[in-house]
Amino acid sequence: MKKYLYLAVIALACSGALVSSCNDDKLTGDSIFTTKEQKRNPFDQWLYKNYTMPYNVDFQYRLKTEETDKSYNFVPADSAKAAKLAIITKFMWFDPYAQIVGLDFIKENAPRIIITVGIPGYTRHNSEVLGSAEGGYKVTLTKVNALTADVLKDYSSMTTFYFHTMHHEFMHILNQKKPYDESYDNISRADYLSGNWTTWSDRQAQKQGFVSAYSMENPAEDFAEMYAKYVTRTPQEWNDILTVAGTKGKSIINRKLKMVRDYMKTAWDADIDLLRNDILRRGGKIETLNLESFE
Amino acid sequence: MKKAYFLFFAVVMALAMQSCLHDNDTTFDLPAAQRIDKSVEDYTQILESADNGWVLQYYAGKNYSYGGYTLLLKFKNGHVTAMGDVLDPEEQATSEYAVVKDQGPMLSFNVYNKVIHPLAEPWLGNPDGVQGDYEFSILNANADSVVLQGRKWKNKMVLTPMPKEASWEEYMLGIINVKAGMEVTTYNVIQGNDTLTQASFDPSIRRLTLKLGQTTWDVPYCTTATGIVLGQPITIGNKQYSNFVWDENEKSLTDNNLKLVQFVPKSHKSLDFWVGEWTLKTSIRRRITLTLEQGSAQNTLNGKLHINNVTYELQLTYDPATGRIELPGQPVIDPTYKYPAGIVLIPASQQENKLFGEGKGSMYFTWNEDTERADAEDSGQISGHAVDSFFGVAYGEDLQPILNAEGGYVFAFTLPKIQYMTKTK
Repeated sequence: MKKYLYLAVIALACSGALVSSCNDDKLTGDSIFTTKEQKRNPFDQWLYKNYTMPYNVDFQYRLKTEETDKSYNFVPADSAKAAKLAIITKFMWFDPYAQIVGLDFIKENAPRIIITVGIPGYTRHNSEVLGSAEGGYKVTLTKVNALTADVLKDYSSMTTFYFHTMHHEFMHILNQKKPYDESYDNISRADYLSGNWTTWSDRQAQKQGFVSAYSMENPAEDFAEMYAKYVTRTPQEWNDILTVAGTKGKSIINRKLKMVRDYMKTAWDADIDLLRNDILRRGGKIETLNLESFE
Repeated sequence: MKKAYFLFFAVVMALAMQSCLHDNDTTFDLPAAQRIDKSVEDYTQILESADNGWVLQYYAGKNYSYGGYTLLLKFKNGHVTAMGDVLDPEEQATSEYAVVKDQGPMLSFNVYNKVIHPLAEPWLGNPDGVQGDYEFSILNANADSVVLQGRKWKNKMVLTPMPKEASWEEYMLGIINVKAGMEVTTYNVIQGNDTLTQASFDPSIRRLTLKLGQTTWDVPYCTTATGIVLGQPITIGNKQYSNFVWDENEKSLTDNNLKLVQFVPKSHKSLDFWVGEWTLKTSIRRRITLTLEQGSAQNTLNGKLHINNVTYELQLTYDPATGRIELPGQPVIDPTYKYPAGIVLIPASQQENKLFGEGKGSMYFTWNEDTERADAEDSGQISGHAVDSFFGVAYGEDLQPILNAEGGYVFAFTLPKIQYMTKTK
């Protein structure tokens, strides 16, 4: 009994220790956080209206080095080119998913931060990194400063520089939220090369059952490449890939494509063929976009 | 057992009897976050207070391992206007900038500016570029100077106010003129009346090297409107030198009693000297002449090669640093219209019996004062091989070299074993 008494005293003492405080500090009432209104230029206002308010997405074009991958030396995006790309990104990425899969889908799953930088990440293997996706919430789009008037007119360059990257990185984001079926990794298990893919050409890779040489990096890249190639290339271009791939390559690519299609259907209730149609239709309308002013 | 309880109880009591110390006055008036906000405001105010902007002596390369650049920067209403001798010294660009809170206040050129950012821009095959920064910790700032330190590559650089009445355009023109005057890159180093050694400038990497006794200096320099500034001073005879004034008449750089006087070797000839008619000495006995005139682009020469009663037009380049001229391989128009796709002048080695590919390999012609002729030599572009000849390879309609019956190339003309040329007119 005495023992319990001791315990009770100790418990009391402990709680006394916890609640005691020197509470004669007063809150000053001033927050250390500034409540001053942010200055927004017309582009900032456009971003606020078109990315922040509808999607809760922070589209960053003022480079914050700490938000980027330290492995690369980036420079900031040209603000005029970033503005054009912001308009195009919404049109070619957010809008097709909003239209085909649903507005809530893109609101829920769009990365919370999109970072644009001026140049690609240059690697020590003489290759360029065009984009990255992190933690299901952040996508980096690079090479903004290459968005010249000539490139804008050329759908194929726009696809390789930007459209492909958007959908590729978005697939990573989706995979980071809901993983794809791991049996995908077994289809080409023996053929992944990590960084050594740079010595392969796309054509060689296609014969092995990959849509691009970069797909050979690892299964997750393979999955994102499959998807991005499929939804940004015309049926004709896609058939060209299958022709180059030959019988063996083609059958592997088709198996992988089926898994990508099923993943999008079951995990996200999205039809990749409808998405492809809409993305291609929009690709043909880039020239009609007003990229010179914010409306 | 009881003892254990007692001990435990004692510990708890000790915890409970914490004191309330009341001398917890803060060292600073304001919380840390507000102090950083204030310094951001103060630094922005200082940067924007210089009405005619600042001169920044910019150093690229970790540990100052690359060159120096001069930038003019004016900060106004969150925008920076810049000029500089990075790419085009006459170009001016305006973009946003910000003083942001990092570990301390940091000056960040966070939107692309085509004058400033090429210094930080790597390229395919060189992922670090020249190792330049575009974000800088502000180490110290007042109206007379702002000391910056590159965030990534850590070089320290100083902003000094541009004089109020000075014109940016004239300042940049001054830089262009100093650079043009310094095209010859070897200098005699003279202290008082003693010539101590020779120094050499490399304008492409913007560094000065000189060796004196056991000491070698290899330092970056910035070109200014009036001369050069060294990234680190050089010490000769216990005196430090770093600010040199250019004298165009004397072709010299002076800092107090130290003078660097341009050394023009006898082999160095002006562009004008090369203009005229030259006779080429090759291993064939035919008379071959090369008539040179100044080209439309800077430091180029147009050549008329007269051989076998045909005149071919060639392009040569002049190197102002060495005063010699260079003949590279190049496509040549066929004035006889015999060869449908024209001729390609291909560098070759008679000695090794080898033709080199297009686009690589050339020969220098350097004036030799003793023999009074311009000696021909390989330029060293193709490692392991030496160009001693040029062959005019004829091209056919299929854009491939025309082959003769034996399967060999057809030559419109040949310049085998070029040895020298002499001035005839």
